[in-house]
Amino acid sequence: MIKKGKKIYTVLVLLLALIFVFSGCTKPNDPEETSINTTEENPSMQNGDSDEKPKYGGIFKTYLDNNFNTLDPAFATADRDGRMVALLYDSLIRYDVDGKIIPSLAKSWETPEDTTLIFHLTQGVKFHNGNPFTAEDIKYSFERVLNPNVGSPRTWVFEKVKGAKAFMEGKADSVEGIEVVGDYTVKITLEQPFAPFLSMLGMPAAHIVDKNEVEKYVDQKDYGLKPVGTGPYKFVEFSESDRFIVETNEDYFAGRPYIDGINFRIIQDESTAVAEFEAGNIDDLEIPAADIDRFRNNPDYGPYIITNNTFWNYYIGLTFNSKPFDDIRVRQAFCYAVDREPIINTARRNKAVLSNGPIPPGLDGYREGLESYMYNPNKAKELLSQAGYSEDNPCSFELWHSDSKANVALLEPIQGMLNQVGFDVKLVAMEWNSYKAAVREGKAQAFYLSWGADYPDAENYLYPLFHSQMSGGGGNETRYNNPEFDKIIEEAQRTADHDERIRLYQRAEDITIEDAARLWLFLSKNWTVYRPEVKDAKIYRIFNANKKLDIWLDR
Amino acid sequence: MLIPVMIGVSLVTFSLLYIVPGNSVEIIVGERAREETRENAVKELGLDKPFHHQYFSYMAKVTRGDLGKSYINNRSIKESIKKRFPVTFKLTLYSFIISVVVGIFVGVISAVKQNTSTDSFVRGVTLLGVSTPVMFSSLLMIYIFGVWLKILPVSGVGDGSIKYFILPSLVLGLNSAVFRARLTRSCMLEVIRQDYIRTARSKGLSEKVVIYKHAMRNAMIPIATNLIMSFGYLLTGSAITETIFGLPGLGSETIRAVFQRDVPAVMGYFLFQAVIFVTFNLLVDISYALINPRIRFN
Repeated sequence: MIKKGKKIYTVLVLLLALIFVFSGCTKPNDPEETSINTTEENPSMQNGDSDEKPKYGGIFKTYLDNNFNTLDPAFATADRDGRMVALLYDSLIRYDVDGKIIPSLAKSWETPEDTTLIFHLTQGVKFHNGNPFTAEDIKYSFERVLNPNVGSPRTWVFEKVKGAKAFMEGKADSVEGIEVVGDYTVKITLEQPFAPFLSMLGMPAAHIVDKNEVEKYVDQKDYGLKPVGTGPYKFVEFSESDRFIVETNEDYFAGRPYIDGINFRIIQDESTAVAEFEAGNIDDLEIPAADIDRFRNNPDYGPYIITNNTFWNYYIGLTFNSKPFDDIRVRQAFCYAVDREPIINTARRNKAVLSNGPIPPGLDGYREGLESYMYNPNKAKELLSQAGYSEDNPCSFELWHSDSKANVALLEPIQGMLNQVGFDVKLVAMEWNSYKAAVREGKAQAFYLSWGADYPDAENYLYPLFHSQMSGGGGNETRYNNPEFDKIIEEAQRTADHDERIRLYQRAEDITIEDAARLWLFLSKNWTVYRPEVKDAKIYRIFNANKKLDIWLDR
Repeated sequence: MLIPVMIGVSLVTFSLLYIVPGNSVEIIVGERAREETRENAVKELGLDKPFHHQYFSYMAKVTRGDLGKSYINNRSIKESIKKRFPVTFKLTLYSFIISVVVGIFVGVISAVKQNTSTDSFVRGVTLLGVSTPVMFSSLLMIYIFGVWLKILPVSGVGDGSIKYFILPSLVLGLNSAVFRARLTRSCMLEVIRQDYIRTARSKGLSEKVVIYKHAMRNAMIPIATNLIMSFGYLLTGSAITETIFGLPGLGSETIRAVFQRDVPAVMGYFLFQAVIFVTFNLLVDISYALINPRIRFN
């Protein structure tokens, strides 16, 4: 009897296993047809775009894909850290859903001159500890980032402020260009006109801290997990690799959030996150590529999926100062040789849209219908033979990438296409940290990477990536160097007039495309599914823009 | 014994970390950092110093009982071990119990009923068990018990109660039970064929007494050795299970530290694990003597 019972049990378990295997593989009937999803056409990207009146209360249960390293704005360089900083702190400005600048701690600002910004601060704002927020806090927080004794890696955010260099070198006690005019007025003067500066003030490093809290610690790095800001949520508890809990700041100056707090679980494995969502334990899920079709075709989940293009722009960088890509014909041949669209549609299924240049859609300066290198294998062959390569003498190089299945799936077809026109490509997979170091040091001939917006200005996709001074760690790993480009982008930075500046950005972009320093591949797309009770959830395009002020729970 | 091992482990680990390209500065400073910022960070961490200098200054701190702070998140390594080790230890202990009970039971049954249908069935199941990757069996368990039946939590450590450890312990435990069952079976088979078992049987002892008193006791010697060592292996090899089940243990954290070149963290965890391993080796030696008097004082 026992034997028989055991067998039946085993058979049952095996059956369950089989069901699981097959349910995992079920292909949707026709993914192309179902791709016309209502939410995709809904420009506001909202979940259950409701006319209902929002309710207060409830805890939003969500997750982080890993631990953050610090909650101190001056040290928050990772994406995840910046997102959490935005919940706990505020900056002078913030970004709306689309990445447009809106008031936050500064209720308004004026620019009497191209180099001067005067901010009028919101009054009656309090830190979580009850201390009032004033203009002095702005000065303290910004100077703290520049202070060499603090050692923040984000000095570049403020280095264009007048007197920043002198302060950093210890020649001045304070930064000349940051003036407290009154309790609620701050005047910031720049060395020279720098148009993107305002939009940079929403970056994590520009979030405002309370001096009294920070200076409690001898080593300011110890402040990292004791955050006290003015933000919509207050820190409650952080247990590494386990959970992070914040509660609503009832006194938030812009009105308290609808929800009472957020419980983050830390779930590193994406399949586990999927299971947690399906078990009903978390309220939202960023759907992994493999599960997108399954979720869209499931009537329980489909209506609650929202999607949005991110500002993450993926490319293959071609190192400008070493063989074989020091020759513009070889770079152009490389770009003509790759038929990007079918590769991206297959390898990055649903999670990507084609990208033709550095400036992504959604930023001023983006041009619809900008055509860069359309697939043209004959032209690629021609260019290669002009450059002195032939079938017997293929142009061989190594294409480096960080090791992951998704990267290999994308790069192998690209390798195949390149080999067809007369390249001889070797793919080299490396562990991420070694890879990043090698690329920064200019050791890679060609490499696959991405760039995301720190602040919503097209300058962020041009200056760091292509300016000769940014060579290496600054963002220009390709060592691209074109004095004409440098001149135009510098001019754009100084140009206050919006339309003129955009024109300069576009000219700069054209130069980089003409020079083929990078082959732009795609912008990644975010798919997030919410539980039906979650209302008015939005996907913000700038990574740290979502302060979780709109979301509410109907339960 | 402990000291030379520790020196060896620390030297090898430190050299490897020194040799592999990339360092944690990459992660600390992020994109667009000025070259000075990068250099300052390198200097602050002392990564610009020659190897022997870095190694000895680290070891000097260790001998004073200071394991330092993580380069990446500035948290104390000692605190981290204190907080994370209990989780890994619990997971290991539960999986060990499952592994021992299931493994030995199945192994003995399979040996006693050698070449019957029970034996081949058990061997079939263990083969399946050996061939299933932990990744897959974990997700299978999660979906069956966590998502569909909803009787156990999917992942995480919650309040630390035992229900959060059931699934991961089952996955980890059954996986090693399979190896244990195979070992037990072969050890038992070897013993059962010995003359003294035949003698015992011919004396007219009942089968139960023969198997459990005479055969098992002798088969236990190699099994016990393997048992204690395997506790050590489970303790240090739980990383994948911890990651999938979202347990804040030491295994997944060690992997994080290695990938981020978090030198003090990697060193701290490796040294700690070395201590554990040496301790278990010692236990193995002692247990030999306890189980088998012939080895005593040898």
